[in-house]
Amino acid sequence: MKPKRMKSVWLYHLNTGGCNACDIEVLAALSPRYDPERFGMKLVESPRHADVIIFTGPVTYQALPRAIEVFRVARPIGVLAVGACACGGGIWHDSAAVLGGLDPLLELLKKMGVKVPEKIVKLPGCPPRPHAILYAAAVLAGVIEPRSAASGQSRYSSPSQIAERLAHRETGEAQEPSQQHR
Amino acid sequence: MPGSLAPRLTAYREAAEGRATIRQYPYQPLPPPPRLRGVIQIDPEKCIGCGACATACPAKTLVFDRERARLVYSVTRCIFCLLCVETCPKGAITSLREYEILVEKTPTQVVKHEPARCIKCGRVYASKKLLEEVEKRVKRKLPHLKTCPLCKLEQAAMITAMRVLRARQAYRKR
Repeated sequence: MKPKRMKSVWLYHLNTGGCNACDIEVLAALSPRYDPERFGMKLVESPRHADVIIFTGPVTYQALPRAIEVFRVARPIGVLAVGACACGGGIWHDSAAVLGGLDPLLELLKKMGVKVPEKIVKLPGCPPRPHAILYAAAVLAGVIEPRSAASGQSRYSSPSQIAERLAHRETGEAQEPSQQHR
Repeated sequence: MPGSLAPRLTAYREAAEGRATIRQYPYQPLPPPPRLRGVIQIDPEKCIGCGACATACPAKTLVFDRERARLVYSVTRCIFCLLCVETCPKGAITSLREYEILVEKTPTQVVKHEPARCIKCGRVYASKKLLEEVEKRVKRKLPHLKTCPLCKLEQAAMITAMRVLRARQAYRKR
């Protein structure tokens, strides 16, 4: 196997005001049952050691300064947004107390001049399964390729595949509904 | 079998046999559990555009745009509660039973409907399919379905005003 990276991927778990369900699933995904340490992944305590940030929660305004500080200090290579809250605000998307997920936070960081990670992957679900978190982390680390319909595993979805399917079903031009309620 | 202990027992048995780690995952996909809730798919032929799913959706990720008579679903905010599946009167929404839902952008499904315009003001207020469905259910033609709620309100106000006027005129004549 061709080495794809120079260093093991170390994870930092950042909860920005979530309800803890995603955090429990993240910890379950880091347990020996799923064993991400075979890919060199481990949870680190300091954001300075982190390569990938596992991001949960809808970014409440109380958590916002800390989240900005973590991104500023960690300078991660990738972010994995776990859960519907982190992906787009979830059921809190129209709340006055939250920023609404990862995308507005990254926009804010860009405005502040903080380096924004290149690889951003979202994993919706409330919460997603530990399997899915392991799969997402493996994809982010380059261990496996995202599964697609072409590889004969058509029952299982990948980013491109979901987009394809939805595009196939689509009968008009796509539009972002997320801004309608904000 | 719903509520079965079998998957949990499988995990314990595997752990007892020394197979604690699921080694083949994530290299090979695992079959999803029987009652897994996943990404929903809307059948545009069955959908009548009533907007019940959008009302039921707690995350408002299913949005029914009444002014353009279209239903929009985006994956990222969805919490996969499948309330929309339960609510849909036509059974047009199905769940895909998938859990490896990894996205970079926001995949969106748009279901466009033929808009029904108000005969008075010309505004789009519903989909034609919905009005047909309503007439089919009550088994007769409903002429007042062809005006939008606002125009209906206006009409009702006018009728009331006319009644008041007539009553006043009758009072003066007396």
